Amino acid sequence: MITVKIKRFDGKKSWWQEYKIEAVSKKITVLDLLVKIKEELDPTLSFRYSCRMAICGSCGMVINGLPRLACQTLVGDLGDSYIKIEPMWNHRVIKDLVVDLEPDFEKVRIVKPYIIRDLREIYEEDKEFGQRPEDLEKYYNFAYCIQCGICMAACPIVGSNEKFLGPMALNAAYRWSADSRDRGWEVRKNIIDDEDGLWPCHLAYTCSAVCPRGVDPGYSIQLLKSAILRKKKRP
Amino acid sequence: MRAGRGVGEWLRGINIERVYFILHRVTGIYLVFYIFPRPFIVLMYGSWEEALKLDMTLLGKVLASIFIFSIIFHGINGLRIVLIELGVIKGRPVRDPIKPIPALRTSKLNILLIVLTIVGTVVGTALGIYLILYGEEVWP
Repeated sequence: MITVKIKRFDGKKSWWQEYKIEAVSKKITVLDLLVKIKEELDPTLSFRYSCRMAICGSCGMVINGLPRLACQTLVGDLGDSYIKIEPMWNHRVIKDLVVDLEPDFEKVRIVKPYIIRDLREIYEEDKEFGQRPEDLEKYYNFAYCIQCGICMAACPIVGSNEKFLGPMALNAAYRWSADSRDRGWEVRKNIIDDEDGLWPCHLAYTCSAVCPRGVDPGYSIQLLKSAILRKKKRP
Repeated sequence: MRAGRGVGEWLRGINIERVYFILHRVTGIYLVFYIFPRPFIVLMYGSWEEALKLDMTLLGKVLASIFIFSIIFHGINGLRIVLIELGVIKGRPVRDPIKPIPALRTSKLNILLIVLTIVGTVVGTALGIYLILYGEEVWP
């Protein structure tokens, strides 16, 4: 028997609710457990999920004190039969475990997460933008981001300064600026080289410690800082 | 409702770098509160020597010990952060989507500096506290 304690929110008040449920196996995920609770015990429980395989980034929540993806967290890995689940920190809660990710996505949009080129190159010249394997290595790992917002939930600076762009957006800024096909570094540099841009990051490195995809946004932020301080043409 | 604790978010010690982050903030704030009032205390007592007598009290010695811990930790860890920000300490991204490892965690220099920070702080603070307690006997 597993005891699951969940922080609920109905739009007005917040409370903790306990559920006792039989887990068929320790190899099931926390998401499976939540679905089981919703189906068998409490249909009013709300949480967001989609792919069940750590690709969509929908089911981010705080499980036993650590922001994680519910679909990637095995019940057996949590150690005991008591599981505590809260909505992701540093986010506005909509209902129960569902949080508003729109501010995170808006911050990503600010840093222009796409390849910036002169439009004439794209539409008027018959030209391919090739890339060597060694160029790909510069941003490959950072391109694994699924924008689940877990890094934003873990970041202590986002917690105290809502204007801070945060690890998710800054990682996107690095990923696109480090792409050899991109010509947008100067544009992005002007956006992130700001008091609420990348400089509030003081290397707590929790974003990287909790990232379910091993993206290492903490490091990409430092690479951006280094590129600005050393006046590089691209990070 | 916004989940989380605002400035209280600083205090979640999830990983070693985060613990260092907390200590860096706390020691930084302590240094401001310890150093900033000093000139005013000197003005209040009329001379530096008179003001220094406060440091010879038990409370003064405790505060001075915390000051030594704070300044050594803040200094060494600050240097580590500067070296990372300048790109002197580099990680190598591990290209493994199954079990990826954050790049800075693979940097031996970063790990070495994390260890040196705490070793340097402990040794330096111990030496400092010894001098606070027995300094008059060492340097009469």
